Amino acid sequence: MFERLDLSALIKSVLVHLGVISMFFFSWKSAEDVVLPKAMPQHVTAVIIEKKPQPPAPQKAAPPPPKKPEPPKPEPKKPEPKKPEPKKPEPKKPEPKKPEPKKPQPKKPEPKKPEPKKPEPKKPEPKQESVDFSDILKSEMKQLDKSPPKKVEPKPAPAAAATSTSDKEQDEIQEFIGLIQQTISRNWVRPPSARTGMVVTLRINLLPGGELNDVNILKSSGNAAFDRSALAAVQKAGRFPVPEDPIKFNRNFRTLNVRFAPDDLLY
Amino acid sequence: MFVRYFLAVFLALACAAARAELTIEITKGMDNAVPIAIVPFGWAQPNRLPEDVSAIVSADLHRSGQFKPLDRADMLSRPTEASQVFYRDWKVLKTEYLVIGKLIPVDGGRYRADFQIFDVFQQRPIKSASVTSTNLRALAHGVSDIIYLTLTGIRGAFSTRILYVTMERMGPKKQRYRLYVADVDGHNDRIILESPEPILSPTWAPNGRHVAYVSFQSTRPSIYIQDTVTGRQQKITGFPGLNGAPSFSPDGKQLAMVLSKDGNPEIYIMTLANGQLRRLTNHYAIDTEPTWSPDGQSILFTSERGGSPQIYRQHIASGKVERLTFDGNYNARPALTPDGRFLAMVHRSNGVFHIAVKDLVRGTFNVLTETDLDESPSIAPNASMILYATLHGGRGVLSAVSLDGRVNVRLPSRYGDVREPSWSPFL
Repeated sequence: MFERLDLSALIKSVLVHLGVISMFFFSWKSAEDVVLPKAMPQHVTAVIIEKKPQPPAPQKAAPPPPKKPEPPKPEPKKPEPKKPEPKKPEPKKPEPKKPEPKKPQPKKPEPKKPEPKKPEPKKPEPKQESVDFSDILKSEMKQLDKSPPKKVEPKPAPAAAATSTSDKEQDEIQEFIGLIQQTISRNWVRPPSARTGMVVTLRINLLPGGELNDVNILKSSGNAAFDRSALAAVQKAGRFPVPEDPIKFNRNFRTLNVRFAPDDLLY
Repeated sequence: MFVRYFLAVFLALACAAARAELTIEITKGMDNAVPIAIVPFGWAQPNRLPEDVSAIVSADLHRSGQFKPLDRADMLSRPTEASQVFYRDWKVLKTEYLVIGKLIPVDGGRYRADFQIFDVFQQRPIKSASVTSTNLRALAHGVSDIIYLTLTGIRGAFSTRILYVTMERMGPKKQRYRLYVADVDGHNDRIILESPEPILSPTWAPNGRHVAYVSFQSTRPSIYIQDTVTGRQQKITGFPGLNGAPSFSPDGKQLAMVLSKDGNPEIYIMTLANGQLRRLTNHYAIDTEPTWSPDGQSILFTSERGGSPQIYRQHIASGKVERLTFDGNYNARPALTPDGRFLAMVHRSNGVFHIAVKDLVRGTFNVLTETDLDESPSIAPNASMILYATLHGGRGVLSAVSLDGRVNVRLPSRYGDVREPSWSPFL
């Protein structure tokens, strides 16, 4: 899929840029305000009354996300979480902020990851996809290589979790979980057939950096429209805030189960 | 809320170390309308079509409140075949679903719409279907029905009709009453009865063809049944006193009504085949506005037997009575969803009449409207919306509200007052 020529990547990115720019000019807010049945000669015509949308904030919040769908998502994962992270681990691990040259010596691909990621937040997805793919692959390979040793570690880790590293790390994990929840909630549009008590669980696979790799239904709600709304929420989000640190990412965020269980429906 | 999340997450994390897999709970979502694009359907013939089918489909879906159709001007492309669909064109607009199609003339002066629904984010077609009709509006409503069913799991009610009464003042103490049948979007309206005397309580028979109503055309109120196709009218009752509030049983064989021939208003059931009457209620308080439970075993009605108007349910065979409403001191005009779960009613609070719904399974009670003098709730056959009459700008108009109160649609009239709407069954 992404193995095409750079030319196609270039075209993609140009198209997306044009799309994004055009969105700013021709904002589709217009669709909201449209009152379709305008000049009906019939006796009775229909007008939608914009009624107290229960979540008024989200509705107004909705237009912005579409406009800056790609930019805002990178933002959260951008430097904010990244920079603090490296600083904290600094003393503990030899992960000096961005003295990339140092890392390359032990692990070459790792430094490469950070480099591509910097451009990512600034530019739309397609570029990232195409440009980074080889790097992502490499990094994934590395992480795969790393993962076995980690699996050995995790057992001591929980024990250690109770001690020193855990508190900070768990705070951080919780922060990301909260961000992921918000990202998905913002994109979740429930169908009218949704009822309290319906539950669908999805399994999502993320790439380092938080991009969605794959999503499938782990346990269906039995209602196709409800299941589809959950899938759409994850796919529309497309990218999720995750820890920059590959170890933390791999340990907790590579594969996530997402359980959709509405508790704010009227019925 | 978040505290609860985090506690759960904390626990999940304890296991996560072992499983290395987090479960994230999503309990909140948006109740926005779903973005959808209905691309203008292709038409290869030289003549211009009298109706814009995809515009009708867009209007249908928009009016449901569940969908937000993309403005045509915003479409980056207008495919009419699957091979012309580029998902990124629609993804970039955050459109979740895409509908494309073609109109083809078929013999007998009919049209056929071949259309496809695509899931933009999963990048795959999810439905292909065809609808054939001589009438392009009916064809468009058929397309809307299929889209709605496919995307919501609920049968669409765009091909149904509504019945309503208009009152026009012709001069001092002179009015004109008209009984209309119209498509549910207000088009194709047709007068089936016109009278200088009031027309009240129109209601559909389950066959979607006959209607019953109360008319004063013979100076005293009587219940009539009329065939909306042939226009043939049949007088059912003409008892002294009140003859009102007809309601067909689910099998169409019986008619519940209110008669005061024995002293005060009571509920009666008439077997239509032989005109035999059976008295259901016997109470010195007023009993009125009967409606059938979907299983045909019980009648719901409004009664003042508790001191204020409330809704009761009486089992026909056993006569056992049960009070259903307890919120406030005025609940009247019951209407049940076809699954029997939700009871719509007129509820008065602080002197204002609103439409309210009680969930008979969970017991919750919700006031759905913010308008005043709401009356005559009538539920769509797919239970998606409640049609009712209300006052707007000093005139009687029709409105519809979704069962969750989220969507409210007004159906303004061209002239006069509109009242007492009744939503047809599936046709």
